[in-house]
Amino acid sequence: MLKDKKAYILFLLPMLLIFAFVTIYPLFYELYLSFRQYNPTRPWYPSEWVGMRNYLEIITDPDFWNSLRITLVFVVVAVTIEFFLGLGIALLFGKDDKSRSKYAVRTLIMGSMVLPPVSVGMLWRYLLNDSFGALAVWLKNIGLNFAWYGSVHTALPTMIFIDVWQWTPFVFLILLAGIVSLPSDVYEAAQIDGASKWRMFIKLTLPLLRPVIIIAILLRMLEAFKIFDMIWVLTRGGPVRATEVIGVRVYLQGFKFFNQGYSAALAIMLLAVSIGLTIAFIRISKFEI
Amino acid sequence: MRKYKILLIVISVLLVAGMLYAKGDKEEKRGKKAKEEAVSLEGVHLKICSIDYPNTRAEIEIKHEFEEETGITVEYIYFPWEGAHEKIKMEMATQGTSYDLFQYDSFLAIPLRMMDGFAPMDSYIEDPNLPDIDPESFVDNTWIHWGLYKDEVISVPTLHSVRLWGYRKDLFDDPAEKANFKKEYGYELAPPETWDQVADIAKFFTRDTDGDGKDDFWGICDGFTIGPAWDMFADTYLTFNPIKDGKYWVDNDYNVIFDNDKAVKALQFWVDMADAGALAEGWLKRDWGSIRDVFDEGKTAMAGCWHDEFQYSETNPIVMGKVGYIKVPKYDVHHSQVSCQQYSINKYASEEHKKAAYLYLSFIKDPANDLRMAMSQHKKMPDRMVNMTNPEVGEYQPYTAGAIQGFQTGIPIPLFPEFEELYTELSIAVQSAMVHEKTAEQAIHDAAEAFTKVMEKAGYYK
Repeated sequence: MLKDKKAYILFLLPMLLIFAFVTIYPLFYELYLSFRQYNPTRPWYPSEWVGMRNYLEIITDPDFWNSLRITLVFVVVAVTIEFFLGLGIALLFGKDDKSRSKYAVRTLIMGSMVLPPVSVGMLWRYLLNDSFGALAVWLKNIGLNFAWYGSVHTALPTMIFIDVWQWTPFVFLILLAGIVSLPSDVYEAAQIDGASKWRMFIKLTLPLLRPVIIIAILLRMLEAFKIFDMIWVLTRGGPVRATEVIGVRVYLQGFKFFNQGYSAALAIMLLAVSIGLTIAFIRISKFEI
Repeated sequence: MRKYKILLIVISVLLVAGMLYAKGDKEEKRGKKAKEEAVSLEGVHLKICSIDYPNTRAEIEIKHEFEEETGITVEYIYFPWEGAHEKIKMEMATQGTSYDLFQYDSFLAIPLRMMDGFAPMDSYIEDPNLPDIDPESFVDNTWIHWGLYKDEVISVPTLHSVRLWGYRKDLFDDPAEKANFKKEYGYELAPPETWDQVADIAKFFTRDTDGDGKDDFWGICDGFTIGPAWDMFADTYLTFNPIKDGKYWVDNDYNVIFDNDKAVKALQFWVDMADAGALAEGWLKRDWGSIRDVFDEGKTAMAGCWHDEFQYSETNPIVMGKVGYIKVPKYDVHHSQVSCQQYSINKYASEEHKKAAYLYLSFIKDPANDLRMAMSQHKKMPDRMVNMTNPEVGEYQPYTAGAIQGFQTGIPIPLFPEFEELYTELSIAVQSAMVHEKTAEQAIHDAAEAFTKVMEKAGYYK
């Protein structure tokens, strides 16, 4: 038995080493960097141990709080809409229908999900162009004449809309997998007992789907917290910081200005906030992993 | 006496002829030796970290001639503007050798060169076996600010830019427009010389042409995302007389000096233009890549941008041939910002690669090739002054005359490494004033305060 354990460890070792190298080491290095002032592209800058100074600067910077607020609004609104839309579509598709058109539509719905975020940004940049953007021109013709991602008031809702467009299919896919695997005998029993469809949905579908729902929301929340690419391509965090989520701020500081220490501290704070919210969500939902 | 005179003339003629022959012979010999040198580099594969512009496309079109002659192969690897600069920064920070040549914008030239990753070219320039790239003969103001570092040549210019204003000649020359303008403003409609005239003309041309109650033709097409917003603000601010030490942004001790009335007035100009509706719709989301999209669609009377942008207007059938060019309008003086992308050799590349890279630069910067590319379908902007002032080029690229004026009175974009932070802070300040989140005064003040912190953190005031 002991010999077997050694064998397990031996076989696991390469993966553990890679994991330690690409995940654990960078994480600790990032933590270390967050206590330093360090700019690799400007070797003449003071590079020193600054203790908590980066963190202190971050929490006393109103722009950070603005970014955190925007990130939270983005995550909460986008994930909520994605969940309800995804659930609705999954319920529609979850019926015991074997028609071919259902599979075709299901595949089409998932099209947006496979696009890289940068392509999504470029796509919507063209679609919402004032002069030749097909969607912007059409919306203008029906009286919706907005600057979309070019206005302080509509930029964030536009980003949320695009995220919903891209990621609702992901929620749909997970929930659909949950729905099709629900036991049919429970529903048959409920039907015999005379339960209405609404009652079956509330009393059976939702409780049975709970673990799947929590997984879907958790995955989307964690992804949404990291949002960067699509926003960067469309607005670069503007106008006037209206879409400057924390991801954009980390990138600006880390890869535009190369303030690696400050940027590392920001990233650690983003990690802390997302871990904190995830734990809170798991506790509230009483989900057992 | 007459005999002596004749003798003197003969000797002088012989001397001059001898000197000319010797120079020609030396150049011929240098050319021959360069070819021999190139042969020894046969098989070298050069990689260029590059950005897709008409200039680079023109180079790609002729690079096969260099490849056939030398046996050195050249590969352009395109990146988006931003991606290219990040690549270079990382390459230098890691002392990488993935690329032999870097193409980069002067926006980032100062911090990049301070990373000490560009190979000095002086030894190649002085090497009689290699061609002389002759840096002094590049277009005025495009090399001197960026090409020299620690008294050594570290780059050669490529794709120079100066701020320039384009206007619709057909509209400005239209008798009916002229009469209406004079009636409304009391002076002749002409390409604007001052910012006050820009304001009048922009408001005059902003109108509803299809009678649906909404403006669909505007005075000015410009962009105000992060970056272009800086440019537009700098266009106005830099035309005041300098603030201190002949400077506008920081003084000789790097103290921030742009928190002043002139900067506020310059910003207020754009706030007023936005309020008057004279800026083509979408101004807050228009970036460098689409700065004159509406102008090129024929929907605005004027556009201000980097002059290389007008390369595209000159090939756009809607406005082609209808655009006139003028230097940037002024408050006190005509000052245009000058920027110029540069080519540098990777210091960490092997000696063979560095030499091959220098040979390739000499080939594409050769005055004859420079002219050929300027006259090609790509309308590459000439790098050599002799080609920039060539009347044929002037006719083929009509903005060159305006650009030359700009280069001669031009001010380089700020030459300190924190420029990226400066333009980001000021761009956000410009945006916040234009959408009335702050007053122009408050926006400028906040940007100055934020930038002072950047400089303080960078260790300038220790």
